[in-house]
Amino acid sequence: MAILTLREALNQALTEEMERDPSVFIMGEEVAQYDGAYKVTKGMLAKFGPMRVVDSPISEAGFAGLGVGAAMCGLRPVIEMMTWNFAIQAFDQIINHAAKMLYMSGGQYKVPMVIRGPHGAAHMLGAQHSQCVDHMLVNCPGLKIVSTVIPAEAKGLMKSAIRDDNTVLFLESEMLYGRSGEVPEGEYTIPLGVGDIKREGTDVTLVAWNKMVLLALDVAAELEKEGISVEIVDPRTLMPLDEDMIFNSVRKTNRLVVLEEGWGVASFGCHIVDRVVKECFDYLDAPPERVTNLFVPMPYNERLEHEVMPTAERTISAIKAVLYK
Amino acid sequence: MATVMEMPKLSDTMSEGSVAHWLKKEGEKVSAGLPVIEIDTDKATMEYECPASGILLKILVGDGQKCPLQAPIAVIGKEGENWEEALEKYKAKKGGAASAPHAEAKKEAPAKSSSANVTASSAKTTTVPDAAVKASPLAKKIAADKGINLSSIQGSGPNGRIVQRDLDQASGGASSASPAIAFGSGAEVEKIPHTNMRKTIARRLAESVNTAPHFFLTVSINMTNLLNWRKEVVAKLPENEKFSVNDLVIFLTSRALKRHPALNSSWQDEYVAQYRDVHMSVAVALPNGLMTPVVRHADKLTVVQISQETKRLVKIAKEGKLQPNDYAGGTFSVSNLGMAGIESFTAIINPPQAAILAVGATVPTPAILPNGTVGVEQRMKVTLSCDHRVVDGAVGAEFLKTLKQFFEDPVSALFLG
Repeated sequence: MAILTLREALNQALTEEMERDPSVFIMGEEVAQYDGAYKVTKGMLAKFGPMRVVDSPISEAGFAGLGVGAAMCGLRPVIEMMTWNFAIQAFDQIINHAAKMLYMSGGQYKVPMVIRGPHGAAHMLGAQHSQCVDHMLVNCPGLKIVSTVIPAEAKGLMKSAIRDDNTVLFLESEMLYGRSGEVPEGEYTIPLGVGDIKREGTDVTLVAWNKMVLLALDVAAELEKEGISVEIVDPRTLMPLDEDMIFNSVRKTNRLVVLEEGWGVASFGCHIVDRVVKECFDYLDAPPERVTNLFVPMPYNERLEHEVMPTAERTISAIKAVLYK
Repeated sequence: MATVMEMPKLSDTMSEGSVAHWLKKEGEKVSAGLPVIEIDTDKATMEYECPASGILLKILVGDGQKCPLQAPIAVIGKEGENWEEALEKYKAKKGGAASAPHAEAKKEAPAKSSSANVTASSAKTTTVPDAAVKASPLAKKIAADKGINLSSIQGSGPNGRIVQRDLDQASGGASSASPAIAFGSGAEVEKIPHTNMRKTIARRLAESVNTAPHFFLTVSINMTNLLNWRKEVVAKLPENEKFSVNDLVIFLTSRALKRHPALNSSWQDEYVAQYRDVHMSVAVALPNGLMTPVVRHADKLTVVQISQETKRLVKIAKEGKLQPNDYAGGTFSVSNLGMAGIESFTAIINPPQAAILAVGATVPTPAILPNGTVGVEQRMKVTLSCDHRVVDGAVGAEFLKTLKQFFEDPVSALFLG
């Protein structure tokens, strides 16, 4: 199997889909001439030309709206947000138009668009550039939301996202574009709405997505030394959510910890806990625990940034709390 | 406005109630003050009055079911009234109004002592409604599946929450800890569930043996005179006034206690409570346990009165209808196994009393008679169990000396009692 970085895997998915379907085009700030702010679209302008790889001005609401219109007219735009923090500018287009168009037009208009980009803390980018946006978007019906940083998954999920007739928001991570992993050769897709057990375990279910999966794997390896067996469930797509996978795991381990980057108030982790308590109540041996960002704007200072984000220490103590250890 | 009926506390030692039988069905008319339910307390089955008049809208705790004290057991209201709404309101009120557990002064035997500085400080009990058992949902499910009683398990989670591992220990721990052949293994087992009464007996008597240091004094009494005298007297009495040897035992023992109040007392945390009146607890064996109804003011009653009161108490005890008033507040106990042919035995003190008299059978015994010849005497052995915290050996011995004198020369009781 090829070893690719996250950016290379995404690039491969985009390239393959553009080769396969002439209605797919890419648009965003610096995606063409500069090969993308994070080089996800490297080489694509040379390959597909300026009609299909389009540099846009700094105008998130504008090019997101242009994407909605293009999708309604039959194209399949892939919009790059340099970071999802900037996409907050475009929330009106995303939430009010992309998400609701199918419903409000009585099914006459589809918006088969992908909006992709990194979110969450990167590295010393300050409070305005470090937010997780998943909980802001996930409660708006009409959107599908993918959140992954694993190269192989990013490729398979991106291909599914482009082919989906709904608007799919694709959440990546700035810190992990250069992190590599095995990516299967050739054509494959990963369906939206199907989670993945990243590690089997028997004592506690740890639900994590995006870059928290990597923290979860570290913590699980650490706890294995103490004889604690952690099962890591990665939903991969927040909407639709693979609830059955989570429920089955909790029914096996009887304990739940949700590990998420982002603030914990009314977060997506809250939703998971709510669903589990409702559906697996009789299987719970302890109240579920959540590990989230501290409820403060992200500090610029590097050490403080690490303190605010979920730490291995806090995750371990949450796991021990549900194990009554 | 509908009324929510609660499980009443019908005895001092009652910690949960179980419904023996509803006398009315859902939808039937009930009247305030008339019996509506029979409740099994730890001691007896008691009728309980309806708190309100109207329709018995809903029975929440059915026949044979148990619930904590003061838990709602039924809703009474007008025809067609919404009982669920009434129950919700009741719960909201209970939860909101910081329902202060009402303290109830426990009525000890009336200690009219003016000299002793007896305050009721230690004689208070607080009744707190049993909180629901704290257990994780999983623990509750496992317990329900395996038939484990959660209230018997110590929780190791926060605030004593019972969690999965506590149940693992409860079900698997015991067997793995004792690799030796288990008690009664291989034998077929019939599991007889504890009745409330059995549990109370077990708890109280274990508490008595474990906390009151017992010692035992036995004396042999010549009953020849007493038996002859009784025969003569009883022959002249109408049927309803005839009395037994046991009635005489209660009569003479209560007279002897008047002379030795140290035996008619109880150990309390701060003091020894010594009672002026004698309320005699009489052990009565019942098919499902043991009750000790109380002959009140036994020291002031005639033998015939004692006999009649004892008969009454035994009758209602056998019907399982003793009221708390019938068995609470005894100051001394008599247990007689003579009729079963037991010659002598030691009884466990009925807490918090200081002593109990175990009475054996009267048996013809070879003896040297006062005139120096060898003959037969009717002899009865009595054994006094004393709580050494209250009663010392010599004090117990003095009491038995008086008792022996009264039994052997019953007329002396008239003058000395």
